[in-house]
Amino acid sequence: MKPSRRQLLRSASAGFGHVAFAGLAAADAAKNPLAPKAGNFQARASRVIFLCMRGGPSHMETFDPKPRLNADHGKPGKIPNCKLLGSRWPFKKSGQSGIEVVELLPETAKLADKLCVLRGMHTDNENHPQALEQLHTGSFQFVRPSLGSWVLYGLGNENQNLPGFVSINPLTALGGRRYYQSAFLPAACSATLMGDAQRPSANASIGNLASPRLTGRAQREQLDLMQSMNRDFAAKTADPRVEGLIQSYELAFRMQDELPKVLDVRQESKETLALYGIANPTSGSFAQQCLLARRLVEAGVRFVEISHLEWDLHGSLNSGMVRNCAQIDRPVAALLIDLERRGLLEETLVIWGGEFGRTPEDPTQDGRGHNNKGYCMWLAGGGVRGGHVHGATDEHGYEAVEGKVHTHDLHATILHLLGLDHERLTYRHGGRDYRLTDVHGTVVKQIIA
Amino acid sequence: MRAPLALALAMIIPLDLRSEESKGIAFFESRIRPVLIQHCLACHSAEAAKAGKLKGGLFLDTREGIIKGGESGPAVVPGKTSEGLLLKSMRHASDAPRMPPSGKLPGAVVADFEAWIKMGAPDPRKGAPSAVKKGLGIEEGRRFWSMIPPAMPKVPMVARTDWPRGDVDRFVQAAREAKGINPAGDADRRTLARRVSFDLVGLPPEPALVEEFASDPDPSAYERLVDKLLASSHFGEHWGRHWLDAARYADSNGRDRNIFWFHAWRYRDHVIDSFNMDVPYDRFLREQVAGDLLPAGDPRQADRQRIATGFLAMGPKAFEESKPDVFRMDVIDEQIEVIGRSILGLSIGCARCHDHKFDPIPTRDYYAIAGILGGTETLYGHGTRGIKATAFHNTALQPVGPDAPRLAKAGQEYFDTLQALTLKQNTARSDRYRVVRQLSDAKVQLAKPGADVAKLQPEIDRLNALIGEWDKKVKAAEAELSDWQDHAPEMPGWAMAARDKPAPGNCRIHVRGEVTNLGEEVPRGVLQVLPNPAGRIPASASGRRELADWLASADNPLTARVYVNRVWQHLFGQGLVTTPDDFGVNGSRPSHPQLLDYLALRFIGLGWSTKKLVRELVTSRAYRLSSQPVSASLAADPENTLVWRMSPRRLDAESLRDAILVVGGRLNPARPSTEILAAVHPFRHGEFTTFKPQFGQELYDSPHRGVYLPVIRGLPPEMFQLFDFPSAERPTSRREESTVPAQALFFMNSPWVISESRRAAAGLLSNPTREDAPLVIQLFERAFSRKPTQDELKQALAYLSGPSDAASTGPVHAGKAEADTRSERWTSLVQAILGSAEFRTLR
Repeated sequence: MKPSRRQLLRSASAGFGHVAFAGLAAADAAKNPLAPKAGNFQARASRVIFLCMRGGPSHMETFDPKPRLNADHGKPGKIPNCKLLGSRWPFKKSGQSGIEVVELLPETAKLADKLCVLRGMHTDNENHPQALEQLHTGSFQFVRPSLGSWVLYGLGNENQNLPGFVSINPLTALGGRRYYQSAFLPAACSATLMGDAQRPSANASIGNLASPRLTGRAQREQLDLMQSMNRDFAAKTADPRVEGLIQSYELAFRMQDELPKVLDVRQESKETLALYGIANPTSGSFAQQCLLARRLVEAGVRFVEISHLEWDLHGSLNSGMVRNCAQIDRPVAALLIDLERRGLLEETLVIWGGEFGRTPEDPTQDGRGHNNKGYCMWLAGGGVRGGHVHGATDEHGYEAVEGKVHTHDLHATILHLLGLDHERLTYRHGGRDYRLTDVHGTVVKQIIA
Repeated sequence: MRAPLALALAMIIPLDLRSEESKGIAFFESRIRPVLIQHCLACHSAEAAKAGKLKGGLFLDTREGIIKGGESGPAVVPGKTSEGLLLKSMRHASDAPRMPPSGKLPGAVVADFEAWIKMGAPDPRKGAPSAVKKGLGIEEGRRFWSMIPPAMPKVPMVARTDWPRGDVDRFVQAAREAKGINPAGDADRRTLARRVSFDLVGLPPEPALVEEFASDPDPSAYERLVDKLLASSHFGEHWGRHWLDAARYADSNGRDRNIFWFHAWRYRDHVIDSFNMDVPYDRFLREQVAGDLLPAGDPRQADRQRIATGFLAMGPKAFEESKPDVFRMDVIDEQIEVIGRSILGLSIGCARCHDHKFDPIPTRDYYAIAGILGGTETLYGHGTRGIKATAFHNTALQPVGPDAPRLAKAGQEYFDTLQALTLKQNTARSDRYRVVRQLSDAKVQLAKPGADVAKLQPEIDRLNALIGEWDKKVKAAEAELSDWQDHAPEMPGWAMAARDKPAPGNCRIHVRGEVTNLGEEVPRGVLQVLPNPAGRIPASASGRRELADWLASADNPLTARVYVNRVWQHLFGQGLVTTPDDFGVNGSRPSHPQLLDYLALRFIGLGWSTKKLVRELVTSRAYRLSSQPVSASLAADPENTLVWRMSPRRLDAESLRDAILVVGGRLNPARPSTEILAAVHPFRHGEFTTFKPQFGQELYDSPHRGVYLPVIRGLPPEMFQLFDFPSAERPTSRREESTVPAQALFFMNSPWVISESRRAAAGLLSNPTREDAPLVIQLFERAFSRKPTQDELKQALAYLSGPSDAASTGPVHAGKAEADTRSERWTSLVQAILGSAEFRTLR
């Protein structure tokens, strides 16, 4: 087997050539810290779209039907003064696989055979900030690099004209920036944040992407002057980081051209815009994000996260579920269809889910509490088994009892699909080797096609 | 006759014992071993360890393992049923983990174990517990390089005796000679002036000063320049900021509730002032950790010392945490982490859940220190606005200032009432909302076919009326709070700080870090591995004073080493130990071990004076090396570990920002008279949220130095975020040096850079000359502290003569158009200079 570049680097750095090689590697990394790299083994997916459902969507109202819960509706629950709360919406067996999907998601249901539903998810913490942080970084106690940063660090970026890790419309309050940062990994692995959760996603972009005063020609002329000084300076100092700086100016210059084009959804056909439901006032905002996600991965961006915010339904469960499902159903289905017809689904791992699920009981009978012991997510494309259900919660949906998948296991599996071994993807910092999965994580082999 | 009897006895007793023992073994085999196998060994045996399932580091598969115990202490003390955790666990005592996890075993089984322990816990299973311990034990740890007290090394002899200017240079030169590496030449004076100015005060030197220095024939001109910089009040602003990185200083909490800390700035200014006054570092540390407990000569000094303890209060806190115990231990953990990393260069925090995997820090040492901090109350200010958070959070702050005794009481009462009223308002809102939800549910019921209208309609009417009442209550509560917020009494100064609790006590080991899983109590104390013991902690005191003395002791082998290494790193680009906050097993080893020890002891000898240490280092020849590469040396030592040249370094975010303001002539070098954060109403806006942005980027647009911009966690100034300002969520000993396109875009397109460039261009063009050449020279002098070369001058003039960059295209007067052309073109030139590698780099 041909050793990967990283293996070569590692073996060289352990041997006698260490010093000279370290210098070369540093120079190389400074030139291009995000050069594409091979993983540890054959990858099934090369890109990721993470549809982050913030707040914790209810599993018993989406992809984990609980007939027993419905039958026991109104009976006392486990918590004092709480009664079991059945789901109001029927589920339908969908596709050839017969996966049961709630009737609130009819378009998604049509694609059931693409979905690999994980019904045995569980995680460590039942508070939003901590659970979201663990979902993104593996840890809720310490500042750790984001999943997307690890992926970018492990695989580099395919399109050198674009950032490799993008988070669209992130919610940056409640510690949100920490979910997208590279922590101790090279800063170039941080997410580029586009837009803000509080503003319409049609405006999502990044800062300083266009000159407010110079034409492209005038800016090139200015840049040529600066780069000429920079090259003189690089020669004077023999500092590899000056090379890096010179290249970053060139990438920035190219990004000004390329990124606005990628972000301009008007270039899509009418049919595609209609498929996503861009013009629909209910689903339009999320549709915009889904479409941007497709355009970004199509252009070679490694990891894209988009967000839907309003799943924390302690009250107004009825209206909230109807609203949320209507907002995401068509755009998500369109994303899967669109990726597939462009031949991208095979190599794009799509992840749907939130930081945890909901409780089967509630004192108000129109809402559900936080449940980190059992909930569901789904994966599609990128080498996962479509039309497959893995794991289960108990008959009421309190906790995962079969095919349990912890957040660490999910992370290990995502990396595995990308050709990265979660135990070998390490970074030395402050004297120890860090991993996304710390000392945990088992790849869920059963869900790999 | 006596002798034979004694002999006989001697023969009898062992026999008797043997039979006792065999009885005991039989008891073990029949009553104990099966229970262990069935209920315990799956998690507490060598096999469990192999399978990665070992819990609590406890082995119950050998006698030695049972007696040695796991992370929480011995499982069994033979003969003593009141000690050891095994029996307690089986009885589900409150102070032990409840075992087995599947449920309490029958009383008869527990009684068997009790009887067995009384017998002396006979157990035939020989062998050592198979704990695979990778880390260093205490004894091994004491032999680890960084834990051995530094010894004054002999200054080495060097072949090239004309090179060194002093002892520091002799160590550096000797190490290079050992590897046959040649140094670069000395830096020219202009380069040196720029370097030492940024390194000491974080600002570029005045062009006139550079010229004066460059042409000064006096051989001691450099030392005079250094002394001038050391005496500048900007020294504390720059070096204080280094400490603020390590102390994770911030003006807001960050994390889930990003509340503003309106009073954090007192700590920041205290640190700056301390570095300007050159407070000895050992004294400085004592004040950081226990200033409130140190004697003070006068009330002002007492205030200063109390403000210093803000060090312990600055950590980000999880205000959403609903369990007070968890919250309390998380605060302590964060304090231990910052003390460990910033002062000792050790990750003590790793020992919270288990003995440190690598370093010689057992869990009990962690809880010994946790006990000290547990006896300490952290004053982080009035609580947050959420219900959860206000329920158990401390509203107290430290009153300071001459009026503090007079005003403190009313001020604190104001905070307490503010908190109570906030809670009242939030509870009213929440109660109202509960009724709203009931109403919505009733309406849903009513809409169903076959609904019992006769029963539901009156219920809906009742709920509607109830909501009306709640509306009034909510409004009243809101009005009451709002009114209170607008009528704050005259306040003393407030500071974030620490103080001892009335009744300090020891902490119990939290098994696996869990608050519900308490092991044995640990006496308050410090790390066992270090050779200097702490003073005896009085029962009535937290022990923070003793902790501070222990940290700041000249006999502590880590403190001085860690500090001089950091000072070296700030001046030379990388430390002698390249992992400045890890001097443990996983940290790197010093490149110049003798030099490190020399500097540590020299520093102590200089009275822990930062300024004297800095002076000694920057007047060395090593510091004055050129950064020009020597190709053979570059090939042999590309990372410049042996200091054969000055490593080129990036300007940090604040220096870069301040330097841009200097070029534009806009920097106000004074400390701001009002806190920038005060623009936000301190009693109305407790929290930053994106829902109601109360603190926008525009508030960062201050002409004062970057160190005075508030550090709002998660919302740094755009420029700071782009240029690797630390996150302030955790201690930072070394900043990143990233190179990303977003930085390039910032210099190319940000309105701020453009407006500063335009300002600088306007400043240059205000000179009456119509000639561009002298202005280009001026610009180079301001930005690079040097004159342009002939080629550079030619290139710049050629650029200036290019077509207009004016954005406006409409018809204008010929004269105005010409002016626009010139000023716009100049703006572009300045912008290119500010974005250039040379401007952004120290060489």
